[in-house]
Amino acid sequence: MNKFSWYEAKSVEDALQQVNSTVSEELYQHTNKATVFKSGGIDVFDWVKEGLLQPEKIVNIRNIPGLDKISYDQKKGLSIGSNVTLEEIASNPEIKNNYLALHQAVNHASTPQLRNISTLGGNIAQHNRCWYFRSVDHQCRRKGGDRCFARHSETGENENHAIIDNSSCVSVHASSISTALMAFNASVVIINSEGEKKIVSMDDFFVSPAKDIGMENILTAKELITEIILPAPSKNSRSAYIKEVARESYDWSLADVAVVVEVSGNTCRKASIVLGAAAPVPYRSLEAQQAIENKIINNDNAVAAAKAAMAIAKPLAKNGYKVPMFTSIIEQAILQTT
Amino acid sequence: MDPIKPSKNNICKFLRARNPYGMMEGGEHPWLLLDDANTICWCITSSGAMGPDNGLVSPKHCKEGRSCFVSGDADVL
Amino acid sequence: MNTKKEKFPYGIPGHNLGEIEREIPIEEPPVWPVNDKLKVIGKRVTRIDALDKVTGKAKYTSDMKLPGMLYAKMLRSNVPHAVITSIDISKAKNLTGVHAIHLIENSPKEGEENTKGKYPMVKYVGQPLGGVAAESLEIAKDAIALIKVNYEEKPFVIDMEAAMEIGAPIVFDEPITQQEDGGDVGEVHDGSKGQGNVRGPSTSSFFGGPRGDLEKGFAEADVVVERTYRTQVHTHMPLETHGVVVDWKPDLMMVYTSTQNTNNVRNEMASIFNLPKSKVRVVCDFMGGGFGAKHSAGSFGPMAANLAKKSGRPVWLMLDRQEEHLAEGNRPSSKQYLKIGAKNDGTLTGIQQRSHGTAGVGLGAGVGRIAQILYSCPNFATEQYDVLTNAGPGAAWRAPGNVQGAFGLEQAIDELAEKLKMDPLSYRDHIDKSEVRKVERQRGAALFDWSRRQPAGSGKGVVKKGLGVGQSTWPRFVTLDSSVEIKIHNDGGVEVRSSVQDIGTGTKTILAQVVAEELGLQVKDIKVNIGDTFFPVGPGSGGSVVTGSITPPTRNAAFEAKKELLNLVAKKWETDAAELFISDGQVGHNTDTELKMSFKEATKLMRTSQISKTASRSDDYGGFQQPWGLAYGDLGSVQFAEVSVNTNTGFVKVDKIVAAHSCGRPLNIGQLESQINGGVIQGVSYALYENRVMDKSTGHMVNANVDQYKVPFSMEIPEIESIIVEEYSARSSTDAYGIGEPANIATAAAIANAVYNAIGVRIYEIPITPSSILKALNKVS
Repeated sequence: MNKFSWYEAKSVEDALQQVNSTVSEELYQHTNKATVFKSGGIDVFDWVKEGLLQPEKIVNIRNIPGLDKISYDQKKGLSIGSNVTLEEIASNPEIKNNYLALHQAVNHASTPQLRNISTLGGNIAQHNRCWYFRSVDHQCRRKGGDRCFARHSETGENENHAIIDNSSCVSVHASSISTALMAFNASVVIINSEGEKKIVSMDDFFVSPAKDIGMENILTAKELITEIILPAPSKNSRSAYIKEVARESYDWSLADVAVVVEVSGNTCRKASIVLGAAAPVPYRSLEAQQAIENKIINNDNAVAAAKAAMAIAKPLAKNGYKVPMFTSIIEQAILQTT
Repeated sequence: MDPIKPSKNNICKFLRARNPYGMMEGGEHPWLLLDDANTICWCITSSGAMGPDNGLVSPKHCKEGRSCFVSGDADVL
Repeated sequence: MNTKKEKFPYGIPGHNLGEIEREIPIEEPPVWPVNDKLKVIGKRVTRIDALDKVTGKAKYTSDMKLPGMLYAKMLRSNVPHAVITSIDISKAKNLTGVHAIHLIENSPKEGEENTKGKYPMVKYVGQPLGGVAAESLEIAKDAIALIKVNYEEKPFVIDMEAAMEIGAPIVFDEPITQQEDGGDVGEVHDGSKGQGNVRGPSTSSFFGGPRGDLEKGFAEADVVVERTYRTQVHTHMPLETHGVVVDWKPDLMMVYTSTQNTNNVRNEMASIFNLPKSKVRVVCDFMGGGFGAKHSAGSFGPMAANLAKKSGRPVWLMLDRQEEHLAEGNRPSSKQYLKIGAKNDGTLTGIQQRSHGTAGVGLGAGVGRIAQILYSCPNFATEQYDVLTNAGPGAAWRAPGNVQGAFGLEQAIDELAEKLKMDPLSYRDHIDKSEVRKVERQRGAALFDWSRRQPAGSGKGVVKKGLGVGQSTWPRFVTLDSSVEIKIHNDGGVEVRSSVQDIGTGTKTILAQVVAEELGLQVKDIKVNIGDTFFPVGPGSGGSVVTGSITPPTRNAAFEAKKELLNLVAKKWETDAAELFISDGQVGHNTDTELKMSFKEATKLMRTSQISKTASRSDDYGGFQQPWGLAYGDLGSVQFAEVSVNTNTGFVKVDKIVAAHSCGRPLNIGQLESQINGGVIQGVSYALYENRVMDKSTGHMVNANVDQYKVPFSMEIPEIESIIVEEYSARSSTDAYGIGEPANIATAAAIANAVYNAIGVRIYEIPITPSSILKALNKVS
């Protein structure tokens, strides 16, 4: 681990004055002169410990006042400060009552110990877990190299990788909580060093590697997430979240899905269906949404929606199992909303 | 059945081996050269599965004639 | 030799317990009755160091802090096959806080020219090349990063089957030729083309070579099962990594290390540094797991010593998790072909086994002897081949070979039973001659409720339940070079001393129990000082030999010390020492109940300040199968597995394991259960989770951590119930054996059989993952 200086940010403005790079940029450019943010520190310190990130300075944003509140209003919806811990979300009764899929996703994320430390802002901005990306010995495209080791048809170890939108980098996004947030049409509130605030929907927050291999989300160096906001759920909205893992105790998602539907009677009026660990960024399945909207939520229609979602899948050599796995959990999650 | 216990086998003194029934050290004395399918061997001179001459380490290979061989007789204390 | 005849308990209580008369040396202690009649032995005695361990008071190697101590880090290769052209240490040397750098170099013998280059060739990623000692671990790591190694890279091969092809990159310069060890099965018929990276076959063991006539056997068979099974490379993952602290004083090399073999580490360090054994002292007080990978001083031991020599300071060198995965051992992979034939009545007529496995750059990838000995079959042959690849070397791993072998054999036996239309458990009753496994099957089936088992794949619903069984055998090995000293001090204190280490299984506690039972004291009265090579030589913790090797001499030494003490009491009481006994801390007299003296008071009668008796392992009563220490009998087990398989997602959960085991006379029920739990958990992990993933294009392991190298956590651990079957065979003064390895052998096979029972499709490869289940169910296109 290299030596770095430490800066304790007192305010959002203070933090934004200090920082000069995102972690993604530094991983791509290797300047060794970066000043980056650290909130819970779970992701950033992994990179530092692995010798992949050698920052000059780390700005601790964890103790900035005012970013640690959860507030819920029946009309305005939910706001979660970027420094709120996953444990605080998991144990919040209003989130459980009104955003069940989010509650379930947070409860299935990580371990109790890490949930006590991890913050929501850090969780959605974390980097993918592709083992080549995380290896100091593999200079992959995300780190400025010219190869994707994982996609190689004979030697790529790609069992955990993407089955959708995998023509560029084949990693999958690591935040399974984002799957649920996107299904609830959440938005990210971002502030820049000029003090300007913008609200970006989760659908637009993540950046596909096909668009820019050096970024996983739209954040630039002089920007900071302050809160995540979710619209108020309609009275007839239902939700469900399912995550498949190799180990139940703690593991990265192999396949996860969040379904939020608005129903009248048994009929689905509106559907929001998002897949995690399917693509390099959380993937909204318009195919599944269209297939179930204005249909009765029953077994046949759920199966049809699941199949529609997977019709576009292009698995790699070792991850073909994800197709039946997704098919099964999309179907189950839709049915769980009834 | 009689175990394979040659009276003098002249294996390099720096060879070590381990299998389920115990540890073996090189040298002049008989070895339990049984069940070599589960015998792990290493050279204590090069600290590994490869000898100082870059060759494979095993009781069959670590014999007189190999460039790195050191006799069990060699009393270098 | 003066002998006496004694009657011993013999057999299995509740089944066939009887007596047997054996002629034993006159100096052996009197017979212990069955455990029911003993006070300390066979009971649930709390581990004597439990509190030290759970409170953190126990000091492990990495906790050692010596005045002036430096911290070291090793330099390792990051390419899989290369010649090193140069190593530049100039920047590292000048880093503030760096005290010594040592590079591993080829040192030609005196008067000879070095033709092999200055540095050893690199054969795998993670191979040790050198080390740095510095004032802190952080500085040492920084210094390592400043060392520039220049490589001339060479072609390499990672995949076992690719390594068997003609034209494959050759791991060792001189190709390995097959059959050099005189394989007697005849021509090689495995398609591995005769030379290159394949070594073998190994065809014989201490249980003999091939037997009978396979061709005749299969001609007689009415039913044949012929399958190929595959198992993965499994790393050891002890909680405590390998490591050492070396304090090289002018007249003594002091080595603190995490080892399962203090004696061997001492001997290796003495040989390497040309020191007399008397001037090397190895100490291992507490041990955080080894599982077979910690028998040697490794490369880290001599590295720390070289750095200590260069710096003149004590050196701490503990490996990190990545180094563990890359370079400190693994259970080799296997690809096993098995053909088993049986007559319609179930009688086995032939077993043919052919295996290939890779232990990376090392040897020892055979699949063990379980196919040779578990079931009697007149016609048997095996050919076991090592395939060399550019990966870290294998090491012994809890029942080497047998765990892989059991995965194949016990599935094949299940499949055979099905073809014969027999229940797999009843079929084993038919072909297994072991009396103890018969009892284990009976008691296990009752506890597990085997009668619930339904035909394979017959469950309705998405999540299907399955039940399966697997068996194992493990030889009773005894290390004859096992000695113990017992001291009785004149303040009433009793001390046990041996170099034997407690790998974590509870060796310290059972030694205290044996001495307490023999001296009529309590476990808390006995101080156990072991894991130190200044004490009499004990066995290595491997082969499950420790209990069977060290408890008899412990009892014998305690018995000798007691005799000497009782002689003093007899002299004072003017009576015959043979009439005296010690019970509940009191010396008493068989007939004169008035005579009483506390143990402590008795120790004050000593002329010297202590009685010291040393005993070594005597031969088994009635002798050995093999004079070097292969005892009669075996350590049999039967494990039952219950699984749930989600046929839509492929998710497998092991719900329950019932593990029925024998280990001769059980000494400590709680510790035995604890070892069974550990073996079962590792078996579950082997069956479903752990897998070393190597990139074949770069030669790097991509999951060398604890995040992506999947070990089970609490929710992956099934309900485990153990049955410990007492089995008396009258072979030593304790008649006790170990259980470490047996606990791990049958689990993966039992789980695989249960998965088959659940889904009706057999999986021939581990780890069994959602991917393999969905493929087996034809759900992956």
